[in-house]
Amino acid sequence: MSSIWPSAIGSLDDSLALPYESVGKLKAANPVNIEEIIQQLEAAAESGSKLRASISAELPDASWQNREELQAVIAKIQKLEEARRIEQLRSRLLAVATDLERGNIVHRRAARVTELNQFREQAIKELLTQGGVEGEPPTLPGPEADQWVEWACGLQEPEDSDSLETLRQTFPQLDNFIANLEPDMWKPETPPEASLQNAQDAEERKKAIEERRSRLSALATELERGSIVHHRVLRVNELNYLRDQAIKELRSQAKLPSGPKTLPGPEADQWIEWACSLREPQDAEALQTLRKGFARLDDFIASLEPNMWKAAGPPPQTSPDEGRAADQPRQERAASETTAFEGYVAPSRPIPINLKGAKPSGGRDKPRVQLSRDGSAVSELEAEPVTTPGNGTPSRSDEEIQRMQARERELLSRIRSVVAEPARSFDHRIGRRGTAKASSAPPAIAEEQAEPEAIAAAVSASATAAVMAPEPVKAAITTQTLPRTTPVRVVPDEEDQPSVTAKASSAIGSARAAVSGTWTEFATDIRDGGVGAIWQGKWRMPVVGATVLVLVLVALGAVYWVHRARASNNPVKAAETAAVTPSNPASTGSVQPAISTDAVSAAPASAVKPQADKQAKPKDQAKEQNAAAKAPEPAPQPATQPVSAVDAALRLPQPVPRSNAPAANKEIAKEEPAPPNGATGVAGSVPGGLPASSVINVVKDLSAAEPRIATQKVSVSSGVAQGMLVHRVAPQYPAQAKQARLQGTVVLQAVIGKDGSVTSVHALRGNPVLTQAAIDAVKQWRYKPYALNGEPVEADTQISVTFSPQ
Amino acid sequence: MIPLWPSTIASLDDSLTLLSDSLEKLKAAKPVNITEVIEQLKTAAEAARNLRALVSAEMPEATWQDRAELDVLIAEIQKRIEARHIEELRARLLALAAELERGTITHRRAVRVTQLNQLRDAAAKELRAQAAAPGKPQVLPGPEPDEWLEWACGLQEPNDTESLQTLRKEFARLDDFVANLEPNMWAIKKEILV
Repeated sequence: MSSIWPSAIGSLDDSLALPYESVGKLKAANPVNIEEIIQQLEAAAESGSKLRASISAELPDASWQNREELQAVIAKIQKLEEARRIEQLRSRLLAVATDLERGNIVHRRAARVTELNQFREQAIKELLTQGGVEGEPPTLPGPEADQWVEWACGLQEPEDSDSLETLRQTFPQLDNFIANLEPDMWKPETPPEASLQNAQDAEERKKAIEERRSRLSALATELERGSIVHHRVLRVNELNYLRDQAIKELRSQAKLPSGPKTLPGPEADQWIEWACSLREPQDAEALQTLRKGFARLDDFIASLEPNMWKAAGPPPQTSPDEGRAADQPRQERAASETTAFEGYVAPSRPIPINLKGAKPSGGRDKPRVQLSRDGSAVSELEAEPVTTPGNGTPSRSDEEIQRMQARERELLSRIRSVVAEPARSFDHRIGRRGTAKASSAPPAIAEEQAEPEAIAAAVSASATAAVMAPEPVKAAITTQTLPRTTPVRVVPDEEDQPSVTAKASSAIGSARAAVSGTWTEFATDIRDGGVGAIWQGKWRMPVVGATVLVLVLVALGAVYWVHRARASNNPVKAAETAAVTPSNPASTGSVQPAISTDAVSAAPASAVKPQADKQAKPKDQAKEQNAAAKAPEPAPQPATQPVSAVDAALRLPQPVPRSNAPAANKEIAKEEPAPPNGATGVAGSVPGGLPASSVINVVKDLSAAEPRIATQKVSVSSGVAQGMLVHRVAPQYPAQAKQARLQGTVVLQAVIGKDGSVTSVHALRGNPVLTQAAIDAVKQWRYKPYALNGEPVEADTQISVTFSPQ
Repeated sequence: MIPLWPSTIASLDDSLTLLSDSLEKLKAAKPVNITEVIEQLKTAAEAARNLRALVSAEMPEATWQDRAELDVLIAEIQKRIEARHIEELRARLLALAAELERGTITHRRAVRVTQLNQLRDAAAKELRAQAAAPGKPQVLPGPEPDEWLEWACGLQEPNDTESLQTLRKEFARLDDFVANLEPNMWAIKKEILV
């Protein structure tokens, strides 16, 4: 009961006691002290006035006529006050619970923090439970919620035995938490208003926010300037996507009006290294903070391995303007690209270069072509960890690749000398067809494959068709061979393109003429001396060499198929492999050679320039010039026509100066199975090499390439798919499973349609009782459509649905 | 009964009633006109003081503590006043009888004087009988005894019918004597103080 009412009523009654007594005396005609009675009457009137005011304050509309009604009104007010008091007790418990929830526990030992957090949770639960009980909740001793923990931690026995006893008996869990908590372990959350009590605090806070902002911006810039290197393009693109998301998140956080969250870790230039080294459980706190405050950045870091990240080095002169800070690296990059192309200045880091023949994306997700230290361009498709400056020693893989390239060059030069003559007339014919309609070329070539000059015709036709093919066809080739998440930005390279194209065309023409001449000579010998002539004279060694090479490559193909079969057992690897391999098994054989060319198809035309020059000049320059003079050239190449991916494929093999490049190339080659039709092409050839069968198949697939893009399906990891999930329907726990308390995870293979719906889904593994429920739920899920080159494509992914009775 | 008693007691009770009402309002924390209440208190105190004075006048030695004792005391005083009143009535009758016996009747005729003396004796006897009767005696109208025969000989019908009627009804012998007596027939012997 509140003290105001008994005191007010008591005061009134006390004041009226003497007048009442006086009335009795007066009634008996006894003498009274009239002055004293008057004072008492005035005091009684004052008490009554106060009492009325108090009642009016509690119940403004209250009215009463006599003392009994007054007592009833006061009783009603007292009930209200009692209810309010109980509510205050509840509120206090809830406030302390909230305060406990909002504070942080710090300790040098994670286990201790975890233990204290558990105690805290129990204490919070207890407070909430006590606050929710019927009737009057127990009274929590101590001050208000914001000072409670400090007060409780300061309780000492025996001085505060009463409070401690009350706490122990009424709130045992809270008492347990407080008993384990030391004052310096508790970091209460400072209410905003408290921190703004004085201008100095506000200024410091503002400064801290600004520091946090600049730190986030710096990290975003650092992320933007660095490069991701990996031997798998799929991985690079995934990481680029995650990096973009992380950058966006950092920039949006930095722009928050209320100030960004605190990013744990060191300065921006060391941050990624630090973040990549975080381990659980040692760094659980930092990881937790990262996870809570910067989910996208955490996703990126979780997916990034330290050796995949190549920092951009010391930051450039940046403008304090934040908006420019984001754009600066891109501008720098463009400048570096120009420098690299013009002067072959080796950059300190891989430099992304825009490709031709693809749609502009305007984003980061573009295939990056890295310039190695000698200036040769290598697509990031085949890129691998970039060598550190000065690291030019070729590895064992390099040597193997170089040996293979040498063998290929030798074989090609011999073939060139054999097939030179027949190719001339065929080139002419194909050239006309290619000019007229590139898509009609492959059938014509297929018909003529049985002819002796088939190989040379295929070489010439593929080159010609690729060079002269209409733009959509070339785009199809390029697009098909690009990684699945590689929206390519097209920036017409007006300065470099004409010269590069002309030189590449010239080199191709020279090579074609040389091959045609050799082939003519070879055909003439066979015609004159029969098949036996091959084993005599000068053709013996080339033919044996070619045969041996074919056998070796077939063996390599077999090894690759074994590797691929193993990889398919690994869902993640299978998913990645599926992203590179077309989903249509029937077209695998025809598509793989096209993919084999992508190692060079992604290279920019400018990158072809030095290679074409180099390969054309040393050996066959004079021969090519003669052949070019003799052989009728196909339709003249327009100077401004861009060099297509297949043009680049025609360059002769040459050493790759980068130390690890062959390994990367090998990795790509491993993913490409040998053509099942037994084509004589060199599947999985080294970059820069020219497998004849590849070119033949490229030409054969030209007509099929375009529709295949329309039906292209890419594989995405479950993590990426989860990031695209926009609508999730929880699975219905089957009653049977619930009764049996069955639990577990069902792994599903699903196809996300172009519209984001799940078009097909089937179970890979999981309890059969749970499978159907998972499938039913996943069928209702909606994803953000997966875009490739800006176009929505179907995406194949795995989805895990976990059933738990909890 | 003394008229002051009831008025004084009534005044006290009335003022105390008003004061009690005001005190009840104050007890219920209702608003009151405190000046009015104080006036009521003063009136009650004045009435009490008057009552105490009356009691003291009747019974100077009287003491009481509360209203009940006061009421007992007032009843006792009232009894005393009543007894005193009866004694006064009796004394008046006896005084008139003595007055009748002390006077002399004069008339030119001796028969008439004898007849009037007989009536005078019967009236005196009646007054003495009335005064000796138990209980409250009859109230004799008219003034004090020394002026009573003159007042009675002056009564005329129909002007003094009420007094004549009471006299005839309660004191019949006295009424016969007064009806036969003429004012000039009555002579009072003057007491000569030596």
